[in-house]
Amino acid sequence: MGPPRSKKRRPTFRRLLKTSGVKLENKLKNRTLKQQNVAKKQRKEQKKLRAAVKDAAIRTPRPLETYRNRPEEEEEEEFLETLPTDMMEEDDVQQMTAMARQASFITRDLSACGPVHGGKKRSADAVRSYEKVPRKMVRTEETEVIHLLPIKDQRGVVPQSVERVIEKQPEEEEEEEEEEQAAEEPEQSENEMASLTAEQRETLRVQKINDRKLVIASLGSAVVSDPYRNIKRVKELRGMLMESDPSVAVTVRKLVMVSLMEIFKDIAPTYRIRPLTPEEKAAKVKKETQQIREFEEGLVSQYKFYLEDLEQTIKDWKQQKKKRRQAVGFDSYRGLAEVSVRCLCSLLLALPHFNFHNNIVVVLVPLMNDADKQVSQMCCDAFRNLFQQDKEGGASLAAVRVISGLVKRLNYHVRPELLRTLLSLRIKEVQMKKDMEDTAPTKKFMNNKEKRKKLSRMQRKWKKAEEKLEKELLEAEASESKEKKIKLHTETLNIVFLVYFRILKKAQKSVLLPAVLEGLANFAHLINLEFFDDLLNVLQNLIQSGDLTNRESLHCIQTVFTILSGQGDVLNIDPLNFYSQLYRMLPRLHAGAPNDDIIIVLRCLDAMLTRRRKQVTLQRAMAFVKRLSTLSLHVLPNASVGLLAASRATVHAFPRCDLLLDNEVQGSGFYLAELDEPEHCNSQNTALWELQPLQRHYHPVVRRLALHLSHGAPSEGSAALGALSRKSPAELFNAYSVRDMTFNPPVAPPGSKKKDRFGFGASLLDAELQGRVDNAMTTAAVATETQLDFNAAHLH
Amino acid sequence: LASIKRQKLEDLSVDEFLLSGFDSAGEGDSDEEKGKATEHKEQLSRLKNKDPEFYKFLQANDQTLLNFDDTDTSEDEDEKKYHRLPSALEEAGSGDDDDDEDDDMGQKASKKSKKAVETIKVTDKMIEDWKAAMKKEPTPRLFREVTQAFKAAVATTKGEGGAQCRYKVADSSVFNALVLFCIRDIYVALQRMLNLKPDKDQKKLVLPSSSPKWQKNQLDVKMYLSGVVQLLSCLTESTVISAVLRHANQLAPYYLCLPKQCRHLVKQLMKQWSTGEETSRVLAFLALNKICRHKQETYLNPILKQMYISYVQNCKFTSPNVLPMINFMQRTLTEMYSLDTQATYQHAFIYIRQLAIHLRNAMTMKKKETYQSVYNWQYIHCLYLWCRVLSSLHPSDVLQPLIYPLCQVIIGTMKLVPTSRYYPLRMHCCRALTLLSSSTNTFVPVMPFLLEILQQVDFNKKPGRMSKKPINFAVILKLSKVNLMEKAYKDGLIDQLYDLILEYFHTQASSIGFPELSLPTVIQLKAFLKECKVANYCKPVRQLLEKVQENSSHITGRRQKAAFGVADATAVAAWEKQIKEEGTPLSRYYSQWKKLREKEIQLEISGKDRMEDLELPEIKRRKIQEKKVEDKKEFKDLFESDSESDSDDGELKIKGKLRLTYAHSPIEIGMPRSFTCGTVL
Repeated sequence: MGPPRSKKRRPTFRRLLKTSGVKLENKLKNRTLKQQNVAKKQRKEQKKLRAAVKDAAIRTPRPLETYRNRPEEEEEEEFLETLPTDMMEEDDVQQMTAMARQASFITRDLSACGPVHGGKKRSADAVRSYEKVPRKMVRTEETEVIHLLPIKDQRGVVPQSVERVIEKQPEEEEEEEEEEQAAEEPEQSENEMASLTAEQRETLRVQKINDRKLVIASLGSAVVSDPYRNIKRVKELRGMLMESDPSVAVTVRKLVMVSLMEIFKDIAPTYRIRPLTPEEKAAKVKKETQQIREFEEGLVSQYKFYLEDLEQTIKDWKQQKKKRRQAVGFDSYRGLAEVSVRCLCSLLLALPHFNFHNNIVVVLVPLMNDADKQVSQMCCDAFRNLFQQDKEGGASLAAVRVISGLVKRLNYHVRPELLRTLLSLRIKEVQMKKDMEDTAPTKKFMNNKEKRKKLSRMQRKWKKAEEKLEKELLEAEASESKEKKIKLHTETLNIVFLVYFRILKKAQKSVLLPAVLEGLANFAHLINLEFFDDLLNVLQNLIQSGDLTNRESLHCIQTVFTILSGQGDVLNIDPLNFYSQLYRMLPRLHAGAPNDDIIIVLRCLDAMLTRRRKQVTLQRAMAFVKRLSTLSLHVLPNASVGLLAASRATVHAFPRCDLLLDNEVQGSGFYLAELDEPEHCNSQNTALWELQPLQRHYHPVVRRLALHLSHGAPSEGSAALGALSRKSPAELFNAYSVRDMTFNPPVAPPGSKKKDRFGFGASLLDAELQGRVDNAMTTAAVATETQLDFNAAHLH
Repeated sequence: LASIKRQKLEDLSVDEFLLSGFDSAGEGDSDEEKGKATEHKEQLSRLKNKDPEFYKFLQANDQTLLNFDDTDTSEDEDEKKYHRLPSALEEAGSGDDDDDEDDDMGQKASKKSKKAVETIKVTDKMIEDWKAAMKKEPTPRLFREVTQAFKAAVATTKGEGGAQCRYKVADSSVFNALVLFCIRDIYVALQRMLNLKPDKDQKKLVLPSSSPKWQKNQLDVKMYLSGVVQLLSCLTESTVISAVLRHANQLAPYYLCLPKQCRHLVKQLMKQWSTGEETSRVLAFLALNKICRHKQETYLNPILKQMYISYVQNCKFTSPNVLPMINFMQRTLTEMYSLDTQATYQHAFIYIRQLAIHLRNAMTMKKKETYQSVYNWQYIHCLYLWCRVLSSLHPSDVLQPLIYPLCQVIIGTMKLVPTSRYYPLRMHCCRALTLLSSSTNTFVPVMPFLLEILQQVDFNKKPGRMSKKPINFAVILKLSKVNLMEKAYKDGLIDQLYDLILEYFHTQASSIGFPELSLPTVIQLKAFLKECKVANYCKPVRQLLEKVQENSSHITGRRQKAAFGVADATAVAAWEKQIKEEGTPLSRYYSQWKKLREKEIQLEISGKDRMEDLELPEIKRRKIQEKKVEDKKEFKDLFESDSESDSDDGELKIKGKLRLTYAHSPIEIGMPRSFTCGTVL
């Protein structure tokens, strides 16, 4: 499309559209290119997923050990091991290549820093020279500061206590520091200090720390008050990370780390900073723009160095651990590393949009599996929070990718907690049949040739303008972002499922299985249709192997029925086996077992009986109702309430269940309570007699529900439930939870204002006690008559 | 002091007040049982943040108490006394011009002693004379002389106060004769002197203050009664104590007229009731019961409070010898609680809530120390006491609502640390629940907790070591690791499970839902029989299974013929009653078994006594000692916080708040105070 030849030819409405045709065209081209790329990738992933599941279905469960021996089985998954740079969107990749790749703080190749940063050479050199200093320094003061750290840990408030107003910072931190100083041993082996007494040294140290604090505070407040002009101060502040005075090094470093973290959180812009192209650089700009550019440049480089420092600290700690277990200064290393991890975690949460976020993810993910419980806990929490608050989905995707890579690299020898963080993903909606559509090439409404044939020129022009207009409108509505989000979510979930399926396939005996089953149950409604068959087979095998705990089996059943109640209803499978499984399991779930299993039962029941009422026979429903009410005799009150409510829902779904309320024999056979087949236990020939003891239950709500059920669950009348009926069984279960020793409903006031009379006159309630009383009286009377000796008292 | 606190409270905003109210509520509840006040306060404040729900619950319940109290004005007055000042008991009587009179009397006495400078020495002859004169005609003058002599005699036990008396008792035989004469004859003489007819019907007590001669003789009676209390406090031999207690019992009406003396007497009675020999315990209880019965409004609440505290204090160690005493205290306390169910509701409510708060702390903190505050004998005995109270006072509309929280606390206690080391504790809880459930006709799930034991223990595993002695589950809460390896442990476990299951099913044997109730048990027992290879264990289990199944099919058969539906509650009740009267296979078997079992237990006890005389196994002893140390620590924790708080200003402030928030419950405040007195005792 060439430039317009003359103004006459252009349709008038085109004036309304301000964007040039070329630009739109380019955009469109870019997008299709991108889409194609993504689609390709997705197809590849889907293929892998399918392969994984199919394999899992076919293969018999193999213990983990066998797998461990030959880990290099597959090559197809290599994409997971690659760094996150190649998983980003194209524009992200550009940025990363420009800024991060050359001098990634992961690779730490400082000499190769690109031309982006102005004064970078000097600073790089400076960093390198610092490199040597801290380790030596820390080692020299290792002995003195051992006691310093636990205090800091216990407080655990450092990141929070530093407020935005940096002027306040020293005061707030002072208290902490005071404690640290107090705890610190005053002896110092430094030569210069040798001449001083312990007290003098201590005061000197206090003074030094105060000085440093003042410096930190002034630098910090300078930066925050005018970041554009004072970005250089950050560098000075960062220089203090290399504090060389052994008596205060650890404290000062920690302070600087935390202060810098707060400063970066404060001054980082809400957009990602991208490097300037050479043309942009060459072009002349206004003074203000120039200033902003300088600021951005400085910020990015300083942020990068700061992150590198943090990472190095962690690395030092790790290596130290391996080299010498009994290292003297281990504690101070550890403390520093913990503070760094904490800083990284809070940056992970605070600046997910900013540069280097992926690098933070890459550093933190392996730490989730760290041997140190505190560190791994911290990281797991951070990721859980990240998943929960991530609205865009991009950060989650990056994290999930790295996690999946880690899981695979470590051969599934990871903590279950790591996998459990995935449960926090905020994924509600994905493109379900995406892969199906995407595999077929997209057809345009009309290609150019057809258009040319069928439409007149004027029409074609109108059409073109319309399309353009639509596109712009879409952009304006930002509906694209939603689409993008769903795309990200789909991709994230695919990776999650890939991890899950792989574990199901390869590591069925591993400790991760419960987490996997729980995850599957959680995201079951988002699983794609084509996996159903295989997945059902795998779950069936698992559950029939008998190795699973109750809870795991319940998760399996929940997964199956969530799938079937979603888009799986087209499958038309009768999962009779799973019904029998649950039915068999029910008597084992009494109050002796963990109470939380019941909530899963309630969820399953909802999917199995209420939602699938069309596919369930009356026999089965009645058998379930009977067994549920039997079970409710043997569980904690909130579980009782939940189960009775579930029976109630079933009774409503199958009105013919009222057979269970009469005492009449229907047809032949006796009810076989112990038989584990819901279809064949003749449940029509029994009645819900257990509702009678339940009406004497100690818990008021159970009594009420039992009465309600025994009257056939009416919606009005004296036995009606009222407000209770509006809650689902699971809600009721949670509402009456007894976990915290709360009393819901509250304990009632005395039943009547009258006093009850017990016993008559002077006689006692307990006949035996009365006997003893009488007996004692006579013995005492006899004793009084005989000669008694009071002298024991007298002589006393 | 109190008014200052009140002002401070007024300054608080509503929110603050509520918060502090919660804080202090928890504080006050656990004061007498919980340790280091500050630590506890921290816990509570944390809890408050964590669980606003419970806080709401507390409020709701306070509300109920408030409403309740408004209607009952007589008790309100009573309460004010208790809540006004820490030394409520001392204060209560000061309305009367009691103390002034006392002083007067003292002055008079001293004047007299100044007049007759030389003290008269009491001789046997004098006593004989008094005795004869008393028989003939008791006059106030004579009574005064005897009283003076008695006072002198009692004063010798103190060692120093004898100087002020008119008489002097130097000889021990004279002392003996005098005291004996007093406790034999004085009551009758007094009755005659005051012209009091022995009460015709037992129900009403004739108070001596109704006599016209009372005013004149009041001082002497007072002196005499103080003497008796003083005497009681220094006696050690049990028969003698019993004799004096009987005398005090006779004199109860007199004590009732003199509040100060009565309070002293109650103190002594409390000591005897909780720590004395058997007969003295019984007599002390009788006296306490008499006092409460006849002057409920003044004495019932403080006495109940003190008795409960003494009970808690005295049940921290449990051994075969102490168990009957604890049992006795439980039963007598039940009697006391039966006097006024409205008051009992409040006591029970507050103490059960206190237990619940302890449990809650343990649940949320998940630390060993907090477990210890629940997993101890005191806690378990308290649970059992309340089960007993609620069961004995069963058809009571007033107490009925308390069954629910109590059950929940007991079940929560079982579920707190459900490990095998605490199986004995779980069994105690199951027993308590069975008792409560059977006698209040309430359904409580007990079986799951027993079945869990059956499920968890591998009975096939060979025991690691043989043991000399069977484990007595009745007197332990926790098994040692060594115990868990012993054969005796598994033997005992099967025995206990058999007993407990049978006992529970016996209480439910005629329930129409029995087949459903027993279904998981039947399944579990069958599974057990399938797996267990030890014949000794299989035999009782098989027997049990047979009986349960027999009963189950009996009920199934009977109810199939029934003509009513599930909804017909009255018909079901009638049906169950009929079945119960007819007897079921299980109940028949149970009564048979029970007889055998009791005999066995008798034998066991006598055998054990003998064995314990001979040699106490080393392990056991060590354990007991350990437990003692532990318990002592606990006890400190449980009860010392109060005395701590006395010294601490901040604590006092909280107490002040507490006083207001709980101004409507009669128990809260006076108790820790009077309790401190108790420990001084």
